Amino acid sequence: MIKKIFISTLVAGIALMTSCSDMNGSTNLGSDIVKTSDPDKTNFSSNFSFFDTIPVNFVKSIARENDTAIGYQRIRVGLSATKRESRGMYSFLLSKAYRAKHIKDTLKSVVINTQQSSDTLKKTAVLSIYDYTNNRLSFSKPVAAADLFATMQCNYDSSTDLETYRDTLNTTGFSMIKTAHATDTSVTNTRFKVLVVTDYDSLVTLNPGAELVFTYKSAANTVILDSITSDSCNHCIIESDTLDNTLNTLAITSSETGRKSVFSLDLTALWDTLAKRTDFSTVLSTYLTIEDSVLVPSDTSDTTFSFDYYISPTLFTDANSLSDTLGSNRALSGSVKYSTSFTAKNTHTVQAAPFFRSMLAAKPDKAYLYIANANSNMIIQETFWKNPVIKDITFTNFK
Amino acid sequence: MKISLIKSVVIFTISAFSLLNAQSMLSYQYPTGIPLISSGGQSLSLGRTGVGIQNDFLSMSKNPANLGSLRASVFSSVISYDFLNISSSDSRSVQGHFSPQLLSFAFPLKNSLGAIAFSLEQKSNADLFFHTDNRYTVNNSIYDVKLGTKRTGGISCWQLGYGYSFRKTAQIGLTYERAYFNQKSNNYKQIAGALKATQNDSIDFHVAQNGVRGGIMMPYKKATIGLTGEYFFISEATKERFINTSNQDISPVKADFKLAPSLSVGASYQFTQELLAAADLGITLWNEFYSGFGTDIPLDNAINVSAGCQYIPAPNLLAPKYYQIIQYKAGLRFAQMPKSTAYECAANLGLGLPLQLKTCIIDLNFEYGRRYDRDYDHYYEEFFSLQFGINGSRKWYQTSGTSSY
Repeated sequence: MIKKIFISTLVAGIALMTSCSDMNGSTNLGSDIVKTSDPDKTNFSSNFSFFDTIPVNFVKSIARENDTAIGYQRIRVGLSATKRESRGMYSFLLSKAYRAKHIKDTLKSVVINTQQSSDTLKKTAVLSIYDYTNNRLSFSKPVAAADLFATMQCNYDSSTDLETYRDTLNTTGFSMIKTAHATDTSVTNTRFKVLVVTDYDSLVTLNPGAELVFTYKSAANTVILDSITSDSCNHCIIESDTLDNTLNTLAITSSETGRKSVFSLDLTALWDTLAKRTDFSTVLSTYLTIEDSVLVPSDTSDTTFSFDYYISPTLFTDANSLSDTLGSNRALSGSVKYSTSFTAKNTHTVQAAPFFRSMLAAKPDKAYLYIANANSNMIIQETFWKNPVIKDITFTNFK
Repeated sequence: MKISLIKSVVIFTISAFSLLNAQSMLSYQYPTGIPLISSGGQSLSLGRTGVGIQNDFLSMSKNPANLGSLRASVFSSVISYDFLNISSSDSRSVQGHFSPQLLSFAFPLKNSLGAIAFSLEQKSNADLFFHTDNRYTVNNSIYDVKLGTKRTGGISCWQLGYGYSFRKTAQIGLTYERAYFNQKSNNYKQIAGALKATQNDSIDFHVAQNGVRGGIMMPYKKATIGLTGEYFFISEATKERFINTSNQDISPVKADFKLAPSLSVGASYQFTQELLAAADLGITLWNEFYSGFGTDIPLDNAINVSAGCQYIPAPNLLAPKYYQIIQYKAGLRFAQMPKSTAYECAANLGLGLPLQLKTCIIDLNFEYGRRYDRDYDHYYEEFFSLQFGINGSRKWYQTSGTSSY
């Protein structure tokens, strides 16, 4: 009998619970009770106040200073149609073990070769190989002719459909490598790098691994062939001075050159309004809406890209210091993502209130909106931005 | 197979109920939420009457003096499934809640030296979740704005008690009580258009308080009269606030705090072996409540009255049918809230199901009630509760007294 009673009770409980179909976590009933205890808890006009739109005064973009290494694990060289120059770098490691292996051999010649990555376009570029060590402080500095190591012609093999570049290092390059061989083998590693430059009027993408083929003569006077492959590579896109001046006046961001867009915002009306609405003390919400136009290679499939946006009362004059700020304020940054195709246009709406809250104490007359490409890939060539709209700022309070 | 199915259903039911929340909006006004009248399983269906009832399974839940007559080691627990129907004008909202309310253990001492007990108990429920919303059009854009408050918490306490009987003419009991009032509340403001932004203004209130409870019980022939009181000592409460949209650290604020004392008197009368009737009258002295943070409304001393009766068809039959030894119970209770215009009243029906030669009793209680406030004509709350009490006892040694059950 007790089992029957127990089960009946359980069934009744479940039935009751099921019958309460509109069961939910929150109720909007009882507002009079809340209102009596605390009128502000139900009064919308005392909790929300709106401000219209923040004017945008000017736009510009700032480029990375010194055009130092980008850090992508691929290599592109050549001149782009928009007068940007791309230079690459291969890094080789001549290990202690390798040097020990040939300690009694005599180095006779060194050949460098690389391959163009699988590319349907047939290139006819000529690649110049320079000593990177003397030019590493800046990819953009003119390369000294005295540092030239080799000049590689393009060879197309129709049977393999591969385009290869190959040349024997000249005396300058050979001497450097021979010196590296002669180094005491107790030194663990010897690293050297070469710069890859071309004036070809299009971009050429090379495989990450270049090869150095060494020819030795042994003590027994036999010929020995051996080789090493580069273990890292890099490249940098450099804007010409003329182009730089033109781009500085446009709202443009670029993954390749690290260029960032800057918009000047006039905040005087915002703070004047807040001063008049004495019941309100902070910013709850602000919508930043901005439209882009992205240039991507036509053979790129739809993908997702990200941008960082950041609003600050400080006007940064170079992109390097801004990159540091964006990095250290990542919590205040947001990302916008979308799927795109060639020259896609996208409208992004993001929350910008945290930036304005950080300026509440100082209330600066001006602030600057910065936009930067967050992607580390090189697919996006450039992104053009229309003027942003920052509107419907919602004030609230801590009542 | 059958047992495992029942177990599965029980586990599912408890899990499902534990996800629910009952939120009395009336509790918004009260400083510690909706007060819960403490009760052992045996007094649930008597309208929670029990200050003047001698019953081992009640332990010290209604009156610590009850420990003086303890004849066996007992444990008692109560869990409650509550459903709340909030009605305001033509709208209604139904919510549910699961909560353990009591767990107690009591042990008689050798040589008639009395008894000791320990219990964990929930004394109030401050849970609520309220929101109100509106729509704005700004610059041709539509925004949904929302104001809301979510609170969780209440008073829970543990007690350590001792009871002693003076030659069966009177019993006294005394407990030390440690009460914890914790309340987490979040007042939020939200705007949602293309994106959502929320300001969360969270307050964590917590205080630990020392208290004492005392009681006396005097049996006379078939009647028993009981008196019990509870008093808390002032202590320091802390209020910590965090606002997610503020760049400033807000220091915790401390202030004195004292829970309201209470006093209850009760009586029971054993008409026959089969029939028991009891009644309680109590008052919570909210005028003695103190919070250095202030209170939202003027508080008023709250009276509560309850009465109930229990009938067992054949308590002493040598070979009874099971239904003849079941305890059939009914009760009524009325309680004023901490405000002079707010009340709750409830009716109870229940069964006490004896197991294992009456050393274990399972209490089933069905309670229906209504909570209202005269200041809000169109607003009331109906509650329906299913409560389960599990009581067990074991005699570890024979006391000098005689056992009648």
